[in-house]
Amino acid sequence: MSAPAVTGAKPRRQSLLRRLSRDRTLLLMCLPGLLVLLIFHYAALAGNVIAWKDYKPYIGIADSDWVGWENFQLMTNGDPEFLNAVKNTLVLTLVQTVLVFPAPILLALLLNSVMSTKIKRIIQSVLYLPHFLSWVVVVAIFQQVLGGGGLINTWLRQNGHETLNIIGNPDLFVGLLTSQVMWKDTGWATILFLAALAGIDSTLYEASQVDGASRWRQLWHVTLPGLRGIIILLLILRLGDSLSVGFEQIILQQRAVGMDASEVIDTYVYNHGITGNAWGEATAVGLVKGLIGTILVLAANKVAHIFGEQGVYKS
Amino acid sequence: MSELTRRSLIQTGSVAAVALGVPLVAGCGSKDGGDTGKGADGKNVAAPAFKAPEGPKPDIAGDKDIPDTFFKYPAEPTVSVKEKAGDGKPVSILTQTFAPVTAQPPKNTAWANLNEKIGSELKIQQIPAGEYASKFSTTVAGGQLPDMFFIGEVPDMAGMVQATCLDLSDHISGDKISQYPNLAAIPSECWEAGRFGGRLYGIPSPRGAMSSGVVYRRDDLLADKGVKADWGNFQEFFDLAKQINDPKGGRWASTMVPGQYIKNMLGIPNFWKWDGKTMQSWWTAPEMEEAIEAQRKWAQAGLMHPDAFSAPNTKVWFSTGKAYFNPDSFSAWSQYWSDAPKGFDIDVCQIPAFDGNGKGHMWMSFPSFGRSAINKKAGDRVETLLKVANYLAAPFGTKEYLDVKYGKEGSDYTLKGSDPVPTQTGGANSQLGVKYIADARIANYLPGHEDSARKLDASIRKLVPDAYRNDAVYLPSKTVEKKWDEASKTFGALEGDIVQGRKKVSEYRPIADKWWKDYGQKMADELAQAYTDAGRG
Repeated sequence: MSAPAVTGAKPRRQSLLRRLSRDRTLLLMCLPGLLVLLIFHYAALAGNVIAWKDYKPYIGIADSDWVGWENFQLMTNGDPEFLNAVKNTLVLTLVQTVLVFPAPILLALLLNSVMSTKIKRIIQSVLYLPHFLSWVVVVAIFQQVLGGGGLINTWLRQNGHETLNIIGNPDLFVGLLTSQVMWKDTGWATILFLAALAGIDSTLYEASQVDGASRWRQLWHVTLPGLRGIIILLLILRLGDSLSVGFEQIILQQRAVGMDASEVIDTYVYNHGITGNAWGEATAVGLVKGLIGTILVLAANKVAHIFGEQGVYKS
Repeated sequence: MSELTRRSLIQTGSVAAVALGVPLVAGCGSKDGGDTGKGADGKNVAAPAFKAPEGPKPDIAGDKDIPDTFFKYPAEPTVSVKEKAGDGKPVSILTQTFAPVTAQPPKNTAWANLNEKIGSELKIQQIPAGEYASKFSTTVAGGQLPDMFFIGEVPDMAGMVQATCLDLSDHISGDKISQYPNLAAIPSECWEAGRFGGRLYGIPSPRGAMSSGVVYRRDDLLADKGVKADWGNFQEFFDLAKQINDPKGGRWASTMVPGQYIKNMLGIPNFWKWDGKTMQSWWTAPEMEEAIEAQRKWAQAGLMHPDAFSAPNTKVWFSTGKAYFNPDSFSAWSQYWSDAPKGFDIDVCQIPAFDGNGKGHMWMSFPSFGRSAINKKAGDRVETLLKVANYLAAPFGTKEYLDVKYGKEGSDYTLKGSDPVPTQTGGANSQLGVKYIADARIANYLPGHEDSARKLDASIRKLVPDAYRNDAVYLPSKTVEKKWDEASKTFGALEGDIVQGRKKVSEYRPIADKWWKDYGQKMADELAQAYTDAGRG
């Protein structure tokens, strides 16, 4: 009688060469994406060296003079324009995290409660559409509706009422930006949450119903815990991006409200660097922004691990 | 020397620069630049020798500022370029455009025709003017400059030009320009726009007074309203604007706040003014607060289109009768007439003094609309490229002028008598932006609108004698080079904020004084030194 097979032994791992050969089709499919990532994301990082140089575009990176940390001084010295851009960015980050981030969760829950599949699909299609419009179109639509010569104000004017100063009013700028983001992307952002909702085991709802749970109780004890993982994952990723608050959207509307209300870090980098030709300083600011984003992601991920969540990756 | 440009005021976000009557002026070419600083040997090479073109006799003769007026195109246009300019190889061009980007050849028959006539395929990259500075910066940074390009607004222009552009001095200075007769017909003073370190790098696009900013008025609409466009001071102008302003009816007094017009009324300098000892800046002029306050008053009274600050579309508003007044430049005159509906009638407003005592002063545009250059790497084709520029600069009355300005006969224009009349597509097809690479002196020519051409000529003649020039035009200053753009941005944003009520007028002077103390005085000193060195003082 032959000896019994050793139970619990790990299956023998195939050699690297064999695995590469086995997965060659998949690897080939990954190659274009990998190349894009390497060339446009990693190789381009080398250009950040101009943060330490007095970069003159016409003589190139190599021949431009080293200036050490001089380009970072506008941050350390508290340049008023830079501080204003940081302040505006943080305000927008806060407002968008509090208002914009939960919106698709609420919308997904509402959609999930629609019983008719047909109606649900129609609503979803309508809600997804604005995502595919460019910011130029979105801003133009808002201008046509809410602008001084737009639909609403024209009607008000023709009927002898006071007009509303919405576009171009710096006091309402944060609200305007936020409403534009929500109008454009809330529908699209529900996709992930709807997928997560579909993945919740239906027996949990049945069991809770047997236990006499109301719809609210089910939401609190079944649905939201089922979404917790994806919510935390997206929140962490959002934090990494939190200092990017809509470059194109803002630059298109900047002149209407003035720089005090509208300059954010991204527009500052553009206005200062490309338009103002302070390439070194703009790169330094962009670099610090990237570093802060990375730190925020790592820190948030750590916090997620501490609370027993998976986060972006397992600890 | 860096650009002394009003456009930077706009690009700063301000706004308001757009709605303050500044942008269109800038958009149409209020540029400075150039650097008459001497070469390493302390000398300037001679400017290209001017030789007037042999063309038709104008119906009303102009001068160096005022364009010649022609009522008819010659029945037999002359040929100014006898042999093919091109060498058969493509010529790459980067330029700006204020018109929509055109179709490509062969669909664009004007472009295809030009390629054929020149004898080289022109690979033209047209960039909307508002984005040109950014595009040009990134093109320079990427080392992707084409054979010929319009020089965008960059700080340290002298450094950039000397590093990337071909020194044309040995090909065009003095009498050497005679090989390129159409370029030789460009007035000598324009070539200063392309002088850097004493050498000649740039090819100018002469404009005379045509790029000067003025305020247009719709005489037909004012007549319908029974109002005579006649005011002797700002208050009367303001009162008249209030009288005709009709938001409920969808027609406003002006497309935007006429900021430059108000400054002209107050006699504020055109960038820099030589006072006999030094240079005075417009930003520190004592009348600035009054000018800004008057603009604020205009904005607060709602006398301009409600989207003036957020989405200005001034030419369309003016053409379609949504406003009676519109700041623009003289050069826009022909554009307004080209699509004029029946009964359309416009004129340019005269400029009384703000308080009614005497006259105001229009700001004379710079002699050249910037400059173009040839890539240093294209040095082996310099003669071909200069011949191409020579073709593009063909003056009025030539066959080449018709090719460049009107396109191909039959598909882009038809002849009515001897006058070219653009077809439905021809007007758009011929907007290739090559006039920023090289151009002839502007001619006041409006086929089919002789009265209008006379009217424009009369308006220019009334305003030019009292116009203020920028006394620092084409003079070098290291501080201007480094700090002008920043100051433009600050003052543009500040003015916009005050006019729109976000800041108080009283906040202006401390900032102006600080700028003067930090950099302005130094700029003035350097420019004054250059002014006297150039023998102007």
